[in-house]
Amino acid sequence: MTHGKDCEGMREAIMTFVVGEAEEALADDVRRHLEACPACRLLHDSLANEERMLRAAFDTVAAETASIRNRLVNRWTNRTSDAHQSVQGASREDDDATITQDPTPPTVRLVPDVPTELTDSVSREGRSIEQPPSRWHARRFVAMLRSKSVRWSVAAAVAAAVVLLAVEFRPGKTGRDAGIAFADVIQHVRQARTAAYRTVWKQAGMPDTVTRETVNMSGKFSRTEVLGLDVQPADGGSPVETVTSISIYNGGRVLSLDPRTKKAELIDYVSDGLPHQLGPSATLADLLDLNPANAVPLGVQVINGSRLVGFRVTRDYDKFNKRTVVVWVDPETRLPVSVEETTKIRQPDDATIAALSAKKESQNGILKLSPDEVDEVMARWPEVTTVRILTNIVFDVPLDESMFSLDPPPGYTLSITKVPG
Amino acid sequence: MTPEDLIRDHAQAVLSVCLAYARNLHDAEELAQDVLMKAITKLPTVRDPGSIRRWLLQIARRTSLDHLRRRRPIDPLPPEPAAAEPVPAWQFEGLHAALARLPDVYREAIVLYYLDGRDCAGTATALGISEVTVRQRLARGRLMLHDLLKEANP
Ligand SMILES: [Zn+2]
Repeated sequence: MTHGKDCEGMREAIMTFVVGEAEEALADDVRRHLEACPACRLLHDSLANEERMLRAAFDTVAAETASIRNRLVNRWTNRTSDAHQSVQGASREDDDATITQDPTPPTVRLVPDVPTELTDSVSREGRSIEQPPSRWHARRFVAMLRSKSVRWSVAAAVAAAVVLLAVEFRPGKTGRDAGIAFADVIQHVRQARTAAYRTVWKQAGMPDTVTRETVNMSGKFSRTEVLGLDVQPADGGSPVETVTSISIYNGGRVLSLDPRTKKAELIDYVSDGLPHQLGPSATLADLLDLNPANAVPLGVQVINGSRLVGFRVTRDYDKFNKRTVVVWVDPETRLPVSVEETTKIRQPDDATIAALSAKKESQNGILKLSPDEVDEVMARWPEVTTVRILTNIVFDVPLDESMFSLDPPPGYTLSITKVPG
Repeated sequence: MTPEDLIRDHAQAVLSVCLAYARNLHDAEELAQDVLMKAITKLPTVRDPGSIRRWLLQIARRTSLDHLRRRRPIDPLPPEPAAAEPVPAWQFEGLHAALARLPDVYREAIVLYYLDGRDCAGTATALGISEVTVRQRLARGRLMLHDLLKEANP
């Protein structure tokens, strides 16, 4: 069958089908037509592939809007507390001021110019701020697992986080590699079947995200628990951790659990016909791709009472997608105890966007850039840095299969999203 | 409903609508802040809690459009980051540039659908239109987006 008049009418139906919003009768029509029409099958495949990327891109944004939402809640909580104190003075002891108790209607903005650092320090000073858990937070990881491209980010100034880490991981003065070669470390990681660890994601302008992860080194399944942040008691005791969301990846299906709302969402990517396993960058298996020849020994360092051997390995994905990995190894087991990845990507700023727009207008609305010009343009974009720190790494932990079960726990409401194929 | 509940439950939907009009997330955050502030001062006048999302999103749309008008008195379209070309569409920059070229109603439906729950019924309630209309805007807008993305990354 050729691409006929019929097909023009099918476009919208195929699109609805790909988005996963076609009702059964329409879906049947579409399937029947696709079986008979190679032209529409081609359109369908292209749309389905695009849909996957589109969803991943939106997932990364949703993760950002989730952290903005948290920030807005925090700002509000701090603001009402200030307003409350200024109105009520110190006479009231309880701290749970809500706006309904506040005689002055709020007329100021949500303190837009309070930097996050300040908000964070306020929260650390004893106001335990409830972190609303978000299923999007879990999706952030799903998106990252599924794409090597680092997520879209809001802010640019990231130096603070990097400086902080530099202090934390400062190499020892007497640099010696203690007789361990990095190739040896890779060899030991290669033999591991599973791993469990803690991660902290850092990016300027955003609260840190802390997770607990358990992975199968082959990339077949993983479990990520996002831990609540900022819940630190006023007496300075250890932060209280709560799991705010769980994301389980198992052979191309992802189950997201929100313990607060008891909602479970299963996203099924299997039917898109593509091979499925975690992106290596999502797991420690990524270390296997490092080139031992690029490893620079950082010497011996005592970290938390353990004597560890450090290496720094640079692995750039491309000219503008750069990564440095610092690995601290237990000389006994020759396995990593902590891994710190720093990824830098380029992101356009207002000036370059304006310059490109001007150029585009001068070229009758079509911007034509040669690959060299693209490089040149991207070289001028500011660099955005994300740091991911893996600590408390334990290899070959015994795994309970139920940890990776895609059946939601009792009491959860399940919704299923299929990526059609 | 307390202001905290309002922010917690609806900030993400508000952000989605603001993002549909704003140039970037930073602007969207500022807009969302304005919207929530306006809403909080008017909260006592809300009679029907069931319609709160729709009411909020109307404020969000109005605030975003006002903002656009103030910023760019001549150009009715949201600014279009020309960076779409060198950035692959599956990164949000490229996607955002393509989205900016869609008519408002399609862009709004798409952004709200993909960022806020991916469910037509929810999007319909939020926008105050029927589910059938949501599905139609989603499919048509998404096809336009397909053409734009192909144009940007042939
Ligand atoms: Zn056809």
